[in-house]
Amino acid sequence: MFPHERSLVKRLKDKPFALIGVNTDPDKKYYSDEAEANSISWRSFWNGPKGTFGPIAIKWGVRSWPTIYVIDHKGVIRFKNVRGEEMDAAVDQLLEEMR
Amino acid sequence: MLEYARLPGCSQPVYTPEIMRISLPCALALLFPTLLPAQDVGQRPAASAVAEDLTAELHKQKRESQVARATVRESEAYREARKDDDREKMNALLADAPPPDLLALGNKALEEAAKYQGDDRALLLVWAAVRTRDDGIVTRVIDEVLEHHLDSIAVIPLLENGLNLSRQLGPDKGKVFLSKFAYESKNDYVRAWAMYKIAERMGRGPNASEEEKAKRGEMMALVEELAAGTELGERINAPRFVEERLQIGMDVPEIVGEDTDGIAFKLSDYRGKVVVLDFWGFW
Repeated sequence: MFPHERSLVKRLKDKPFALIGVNTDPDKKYYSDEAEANSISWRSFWNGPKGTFGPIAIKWGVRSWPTIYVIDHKGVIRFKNVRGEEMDAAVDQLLEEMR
Repeated sequence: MLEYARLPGCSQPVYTPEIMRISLPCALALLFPTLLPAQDVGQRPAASAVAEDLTAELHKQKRESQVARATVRESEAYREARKDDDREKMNALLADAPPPDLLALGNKALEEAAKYQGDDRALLLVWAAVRTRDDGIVTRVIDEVLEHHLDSIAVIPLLENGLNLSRQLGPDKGKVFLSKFAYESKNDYVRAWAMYKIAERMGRGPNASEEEKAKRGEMMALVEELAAGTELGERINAPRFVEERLQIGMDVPEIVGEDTDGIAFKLSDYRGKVVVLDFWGFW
């Protein structure tokens, strides 16, 4: 999954766009090692030491990974679980709406 | 009361006018603190700090093991074995990259637990069982917590993993394990967790009877009541939260938390931007 997200973030770096993660690695050090090795540039909430069973993912009922919400600039949920080109198209559409 | 009064052997405050009341070991301890066994001098670290250290060590061993496995997988010998589909050789090569020594860490946790009482002790016992899943350790810990720590909030990780542990304990002990917490604990949150785990496996599947389904519903309702406003409450409520708050067209709920560097932020900080919110992990 990372290469796609990475290129999306790179392509839209000058646009009003942010990729925000909810990271569910229980070991922060492991996360930071991997994030560095994989050139992860986006910010993530940390879901705590319980990993996938931490508070944010539990409250949001997340059972499959990754789970994705695309949110417009007004804070409205517009797409769920779009991947790859679908994710790109969703984000482009929402950016277009802002013009 | 003065700090000194905490020294072992001093049951009374030390700094009293009747200086003669100080017992001999107490006076010696005051004069020569180094005479005492090391572990009794000063304050022991909090049990939670000991558990955190153990977790950090476990994580470190896991990371090292992962790196070592990756190195083996990239080696020429491994690649060749893989090309030949030689499973035995592949496994033999991977044996050079051992997994974390769970048993040693678990035994260390038990050893530390023995230095504590009450909730602190339970916390470390539970760490040993949940993190190692070793049959011997699990059995020993469950026996001890059932006997002494039924009301301790520290047993909750044990209950969270309750179904797996029940299976591991076998039919007899497994059944007793959850139901004892569910019906005999004086702590409502502990009861709620145990009942939740019992209810979770009831009335499921195509063969579930109406009676079982009804009992499950009844139990879940009780759990919801006991766990209102807690993390367990949120877990039970999650399907409703998805239904009522996370549908397309709805305002996204706020998330307040910390990033992976420990810096506080919230989702609404990004209002005005298009946001992809991505639940993920390297694991």
